[in-house]
Amino acid sequence: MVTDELLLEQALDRAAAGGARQAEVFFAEGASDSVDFEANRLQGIDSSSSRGLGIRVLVEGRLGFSSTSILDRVEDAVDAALDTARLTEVEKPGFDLPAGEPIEADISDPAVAGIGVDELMEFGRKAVDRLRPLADGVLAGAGASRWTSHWEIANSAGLRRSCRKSGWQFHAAAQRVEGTSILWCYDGSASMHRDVDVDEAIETTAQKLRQSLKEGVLPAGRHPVVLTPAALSSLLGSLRLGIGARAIYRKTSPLTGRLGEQVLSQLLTIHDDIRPEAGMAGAPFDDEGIAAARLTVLQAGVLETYLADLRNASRLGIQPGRASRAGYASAPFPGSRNWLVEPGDAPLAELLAQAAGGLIVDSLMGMHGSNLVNGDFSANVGLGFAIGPGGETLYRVKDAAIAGNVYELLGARLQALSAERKWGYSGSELMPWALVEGVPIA
Amino acid sequence: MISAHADLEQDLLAVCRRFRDRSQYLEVRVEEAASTDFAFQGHELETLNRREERGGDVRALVDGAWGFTSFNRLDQLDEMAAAAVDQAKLAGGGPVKLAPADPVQDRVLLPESAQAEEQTLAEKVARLRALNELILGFGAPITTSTAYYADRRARIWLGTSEGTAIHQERLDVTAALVATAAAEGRVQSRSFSTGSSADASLPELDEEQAVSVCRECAGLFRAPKPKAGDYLVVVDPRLAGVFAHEAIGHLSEADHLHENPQLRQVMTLGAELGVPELEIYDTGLVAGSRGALRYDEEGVAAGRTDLIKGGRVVGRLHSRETAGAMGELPTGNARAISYRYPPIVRMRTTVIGPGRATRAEIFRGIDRGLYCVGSMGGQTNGEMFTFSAALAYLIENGEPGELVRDVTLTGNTFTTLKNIEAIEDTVLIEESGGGCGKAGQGPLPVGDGGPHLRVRGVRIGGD
Repeated sequence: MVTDELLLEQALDRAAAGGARQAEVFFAEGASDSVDFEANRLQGIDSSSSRGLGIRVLVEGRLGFSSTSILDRVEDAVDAALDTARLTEVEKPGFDLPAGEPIEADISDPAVAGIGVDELMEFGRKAVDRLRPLADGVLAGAGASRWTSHWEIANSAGLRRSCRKSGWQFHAAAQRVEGTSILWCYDGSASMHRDVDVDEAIETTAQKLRQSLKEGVLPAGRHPVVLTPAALSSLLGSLRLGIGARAIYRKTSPLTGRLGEQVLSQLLTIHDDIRPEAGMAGAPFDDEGIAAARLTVLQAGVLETYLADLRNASRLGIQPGRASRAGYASAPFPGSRNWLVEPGDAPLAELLAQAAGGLIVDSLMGMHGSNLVNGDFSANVGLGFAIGPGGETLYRVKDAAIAGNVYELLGARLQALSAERKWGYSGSELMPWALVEGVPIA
Repeated sequence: MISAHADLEQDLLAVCRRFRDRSQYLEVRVEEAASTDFAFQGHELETLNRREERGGDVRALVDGAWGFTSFNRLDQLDEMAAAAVDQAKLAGGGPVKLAPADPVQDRVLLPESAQAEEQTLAEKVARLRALNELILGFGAPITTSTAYYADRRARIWLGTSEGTAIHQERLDVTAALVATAAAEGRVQSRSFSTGSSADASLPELDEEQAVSVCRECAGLFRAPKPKAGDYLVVVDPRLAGVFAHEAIGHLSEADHLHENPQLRQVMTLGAELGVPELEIYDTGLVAGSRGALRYDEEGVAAGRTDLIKGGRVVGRLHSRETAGAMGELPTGNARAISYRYPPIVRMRTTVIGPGRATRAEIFRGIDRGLYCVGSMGGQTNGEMFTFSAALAYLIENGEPGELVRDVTLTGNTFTTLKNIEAIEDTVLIEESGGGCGKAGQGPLPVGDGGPHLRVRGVRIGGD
């Protein structure tokens, strides 16, 4: 869009005139359609659009940031950014915005961008029709949405990069209340391509629901646990937080100073991959314009790298390339993108057989209240199943709590990873199932 | 092009009028907001952001089905209204019937305490810097700090096809102080947060709080974890408030209930959920609370709604849609975090009412228990809850003693409500800096509070 380009150049000019030695403008616009099914029916259709820009300036080494959606008053936003830079400290050691070849990327998929509202409604109806009759009192639901986005980065070092992207997501959900017992189960994923398997998500939800119709308890004590990919992802949240360059620079992460050390089980090899082909969180460049690359975070349990944006990379003396923004109104911050865990050798069935008498954990509740960066957690098992002698699912385990330390559970106690892997709900995590022994269940 | 101006709601009424024949009900909202936030991490002012936004949304009801659209461009309100109507038509009919509500024409301006920009941004930064330095100067084992401030001032205009035209100003201010101790691969934090919808100066944020988070953090760093198991627990007003919000507040949201016959049964009016002394309500009337609200997003006045009285269910939280579906009255609980989202049933300030016990009576006679103070967040799926206490003290012989860390309380909501043994006679509503998340909308400013409670059989997690 020519007008946007002009807007970006005008903003950079005004920042330079206002004393900014370096400046960067991030423009983003998007449009989405989504349908929401709850309680067996369509609750509404939402068609929304948004656009705005964020501007970051460095004035005499001091950082400032502002954003606006009022595009006829961009000069006010530039002035606000310059104002904020008068109050911050001089960046040490400071950093330079990158230069580089211009990129005009289009990673949108016409097959995705073309998904219509009627098709989204069709997916939702399918879920409701399949899940509702499975048991008395089932409330079936589903959510489906499709979006397109376009963003541009321009900076005073001459970098000009833009990208168009599309994506969609689907999830099926079932809720069932019996007396004061409440069950929630769901499944689904997101992708930049047509490969979200709607039928599979519905069937998986149906299976979880059927397996939950029988309920029981597990005696307190230590049990073998099979973590589903979703539950493994919850636990790996500690590692994700812990390798962010901010926590390392502040020394609030237990992983500070531990590059090259064994921090988790040697069964775990994890990549953080920002490239578009790696998953939903992919793009040709990060949100500061640095070209996409795959980083290995953990090689056989050994910590290989931290994840940084320009500012924190300069502080720590490591490579940048992991800047994200939560939309146009957000300044860049460091963090992971597509999070890919290498599979193990054992078939899932074997893992389950080894965990006989134990528990499958599919969702954990209350993780965010735990001391996650430390790895300590204590959470309710939202959805979990008892495992029979042959690895079969016996019944839904109710009222169980699980506690421990992530670095211990996924360290010495991790026994095996499955050969099978599954994409997570966000479409940016690919994980196996994990067998952990001696997990304290209360 | 429409730009935000003082009587914009009249322009919105005109849009609604043009679409009255094509919809059962239509509402147009425009919001203009300015926000500031900054955070110190260690000695450095790590972030300082200013944001401005202007946007709107249209919600249309056609044949009992909703269409919604949100946008930043305000030069095409008629096109946006047409789009919302089209989406609603595409939905192909539905059961939605709005409970009646009288049209309101009003203007709600912020009180003087919020109006005056007494402090410049530089002064706000300087004040927080001083508190942050106090934390950093505390000494071992405190190694680093975070100090955070955010405010958002919004002007919202609402017009509906029924003739409601409201202009509201809203303020939400929050701040937090966090002390962190890190050594030998262990990290421990303690935080204090506060907020207001009326007083931008946040008087609770002071040196005393900064010193107290350091002392408590230092204590926690050396403190042991409690042994896992079932405890007799005393919870403080902050944790009682979180329990009111998470456990009963969410269950009382009628959008969860009206199409869920089983849950409706559990929450049926008159159902005995708790001990006879238990009283829980949700209100928009606590001045200055982050949950204070004059009119909700549908233009319904937000008063006090009793949820539990005498231990029994007496009411619930409604939008016009859920009230219509259940044949009850709207309660003014239809809220949205911004113009980007349609209003849904949300809490305001949720409070456990006073009981009869004095503070001393709450603790009296406890041989072995746990006094849980402050909240680090909570979650519930309706049936089970998990809350983290900021800190806790072992109670021995009726007295809080040794400090313990990483205390997570879990249990079955319904069992726990019947296990409340004593309710203090004094209610405290202390604002915090967090917020409520639901259906992708968060954090929504809410408030909560209550008295000290004594509860038996609460499970404390751990090894």
